[in-house]
Amino acid sequence: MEINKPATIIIILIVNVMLIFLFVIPKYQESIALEKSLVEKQVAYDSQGEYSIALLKTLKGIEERQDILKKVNSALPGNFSLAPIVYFLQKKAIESQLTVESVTFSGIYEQIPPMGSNKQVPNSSGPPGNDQEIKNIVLMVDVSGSYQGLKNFLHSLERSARIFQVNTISFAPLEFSSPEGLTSAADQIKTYDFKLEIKTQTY
Amino acid sequence: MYAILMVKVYLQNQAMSELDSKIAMYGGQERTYETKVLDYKKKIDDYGAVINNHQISSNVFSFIEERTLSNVWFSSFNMSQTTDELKVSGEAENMEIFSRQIQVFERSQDYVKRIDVLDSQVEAPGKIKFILSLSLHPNIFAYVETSLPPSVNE
Repeated sequence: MEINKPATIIIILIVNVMLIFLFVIPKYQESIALEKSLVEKQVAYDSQGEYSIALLKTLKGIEERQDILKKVNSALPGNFSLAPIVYFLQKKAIESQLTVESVTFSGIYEQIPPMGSNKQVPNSSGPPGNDQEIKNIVLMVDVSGSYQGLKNFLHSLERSARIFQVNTISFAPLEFSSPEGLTSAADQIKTYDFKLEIKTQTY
Repeated sequence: MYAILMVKVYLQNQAMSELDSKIAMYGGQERTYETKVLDYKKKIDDYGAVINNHQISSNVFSFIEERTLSNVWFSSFNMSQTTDELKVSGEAENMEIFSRQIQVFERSQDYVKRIDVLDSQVEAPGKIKFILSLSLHPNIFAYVETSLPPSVNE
């Protein structure tokens, strides 16, 4: 049998071209697409690495400032507990030569933004949850002692790491005899009944 | 040629899955760091906001002490920082001193918005018993002792 060489060559060429079109070109295109994706992924990976390093640096920077973190945690503790607050108030009152007559827990109130607002909404859910929103704890504190003692007490609250704000102050002498002004020397030793509404924060 | 391309694609796929697993691993770490940093950021921001809005009530005492005339005595004191109101009752030696005292408060417009005499009674011997209501300016909670405003007699 005689083979028609030119025809065979043409058929082989056609088959080759078909094979190239059917298999090689799609594979080549797949390879090009994969290479593109690889480059994109590599860029994403590199930038993710840089971002992670930057985050880690920031985190280390924050964690190195333990003094500030302690202040923040003292001012805004994560767990609500009344006992340390009452203990602190009692300790500061004794240091200021005041007698704590009573400490009444008024409630926990959610702080409404903007934070400058003094308006509060009662939080019916009780103790703070995990939503990490600031809540105000309000206490009514009844103390007795001298005017100077009250001033010392207020100063020690204002200087404490835990932030206390006195919302209301009212007082009158326990025994009102001769008129003695708040600014007179005699006033410094007169006994008053002080009623304070104190606010502090927690998460 | 096809075989070469197949090997290349295979190697590329391997590299891709390696990169994917690395990205996933870093992604987990990154989320942990992010959560921690954002948690700290929120706490610090909240702390800043609390500090910025912190008002010092005892400054009111410094203000009152500085501006109380020597012949005026206050016997009771009711201050609400939430309503910015202060109600005081007391005694003045006479009517003239009482009105001078009111003038002193009125001159402190940076700290006192309005002053109302809720009650005043003449007692023997010429002493005045009074109840004053002062509407305070929020500035007063940032009050620092300064020189007094000029006396009403000056």
